[in-house]
Amino acid sequence: MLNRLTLQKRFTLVAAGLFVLLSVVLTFALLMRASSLFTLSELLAQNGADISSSNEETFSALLRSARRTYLIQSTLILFALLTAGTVLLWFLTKKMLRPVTRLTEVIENIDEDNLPESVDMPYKNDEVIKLTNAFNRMMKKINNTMEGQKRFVQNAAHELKTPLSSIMTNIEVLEMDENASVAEYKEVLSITKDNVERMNELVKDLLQMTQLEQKSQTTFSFKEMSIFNPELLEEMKEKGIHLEQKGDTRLTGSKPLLERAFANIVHNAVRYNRKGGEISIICDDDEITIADTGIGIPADKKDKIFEPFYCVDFSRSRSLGGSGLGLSIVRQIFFQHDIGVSVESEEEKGTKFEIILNS
Amino acid sequence: MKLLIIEDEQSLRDALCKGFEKLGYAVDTAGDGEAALSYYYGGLYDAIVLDLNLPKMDGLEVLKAIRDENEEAKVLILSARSEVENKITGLDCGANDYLEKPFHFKELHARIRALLRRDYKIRDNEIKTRDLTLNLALKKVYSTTGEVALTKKEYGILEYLMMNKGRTVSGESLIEHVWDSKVNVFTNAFKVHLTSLRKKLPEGVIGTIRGEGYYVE
Repeated sequence: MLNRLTLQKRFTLVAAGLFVLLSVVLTFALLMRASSLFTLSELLAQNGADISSSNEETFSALLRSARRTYLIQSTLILFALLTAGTVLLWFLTKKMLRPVTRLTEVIENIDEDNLPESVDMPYKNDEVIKLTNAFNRMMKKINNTMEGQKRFVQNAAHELKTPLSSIMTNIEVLEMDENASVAEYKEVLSITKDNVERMNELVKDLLQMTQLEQKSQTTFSFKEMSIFNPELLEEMKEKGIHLEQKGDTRLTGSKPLLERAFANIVHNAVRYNRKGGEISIICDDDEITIADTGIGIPADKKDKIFEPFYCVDFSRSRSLGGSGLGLSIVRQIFFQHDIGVSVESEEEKGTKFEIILNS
Repeated sequence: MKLLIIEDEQSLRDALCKGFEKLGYAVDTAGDGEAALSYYYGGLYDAIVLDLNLPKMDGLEVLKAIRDENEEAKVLILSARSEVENKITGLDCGANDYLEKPFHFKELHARIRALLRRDYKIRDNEIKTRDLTLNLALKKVYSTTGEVALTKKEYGILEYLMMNKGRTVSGESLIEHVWDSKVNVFTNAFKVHLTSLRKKLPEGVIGTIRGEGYYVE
């Protein structure tokens, strides 16, 4: 029952209860003491009378009435004080709880369209300040996430707009000519198909990014993973890329997710490699190194490659079919598995990914 | 009229080039920022279509380089960046117009026409001289007896002369604005086109000033 009341009412009730209990005990003790003090001889002495010469009945009545008056007076004063104290307590708690009420008002006004960076802290050295700080920290995280989401959606839209523009312009330019030849139609159709395929790849990657939850955990060896799919092997053969693989190690986690992460790294190693280049995959107990002899990454762009939609060279990546999501998928999967990854690269020489297990 | 189209996405670049060539423009294309500038320094363009995400040199840098040299050049930014901030930056850097991708080709053409009209104090899509009317939107020419069928080059020459109505235009300048940079046009080839154009038009529309050039009154 108590839990359903407001904090202010609870404070007041508990404090008033304690208040009542203490004062009742105290008053009761005093009254008991008083009743034992009001003895016949004292009363007679107070009234300047002599016991022997007095009427015992008169004294007895006098005594009773004095006792009653005292009892009534003390009880009345007690209740008056209790009431006043409780009312005072009610207002004092209200004042003390004002920061909480204000914080509540501010938070109540927050919705998805109105996300403040932080809430003001009108009081210092207060428990409320801790709450406000915690709330502000949470708001910051939410804001960052929202901002990241917004950027992500903008980037995704941007990536989809380019193939869309190309399809639209090609069709509209074809339509300008009423007597376009079959060859022209075929050309526009093939351009449209290429662009649709690119959008399809992007949509697939976008979906993958939202479906990275861990499935069943298993322990398996690096070599058990199927990283090289037929398309990748085909691409390697076309470019005449030599693969060197040494050692093996055991991994724990979701096999399909880790396969995808390693496949993305290897795919980049193939995609950005030179003709007749090399790829080496070396496994130690707690480290896997994947190195290529490709175009490399400029030093100032190294930190950005794991960001969604970041491509070192936009048009080159686009013409090679990159969506810009590959490495950010890698980062997310490794993060879930507590796997660390670092990059070393030299332009025109190659790139080396160091994957540290159990980091 | 000669356009420079700077766009890194090849299939879009080719489509734009084809579309504008169908409309009778002379078109040069560039796929990256550096190539764009070398084209720009080497030719005379009536309008430039510029993408912002370019390899080698960002679109905005290209725009600044163009503006450093020429404050009159007409530049339309064609970009997938749709946020208001990007449009503001683009226009503040000196672009004359900003069109967001994906776009309709007809709208792009209309905006290019609007840009081309600016210099010539022409508010209408139709330019008239004597009994001749030239429609810039339809790319057609009409005389009192009906439409005059012109080839693209003939139309291009007449359009440029009509846009510069009342001014004398040199033969070199006409070649610069009507032919793209891929072909080497000799004065003779130009004169062949001019002669056949004159034959199709009422007499005396295109006047000649020896040693200086040609004019339309």
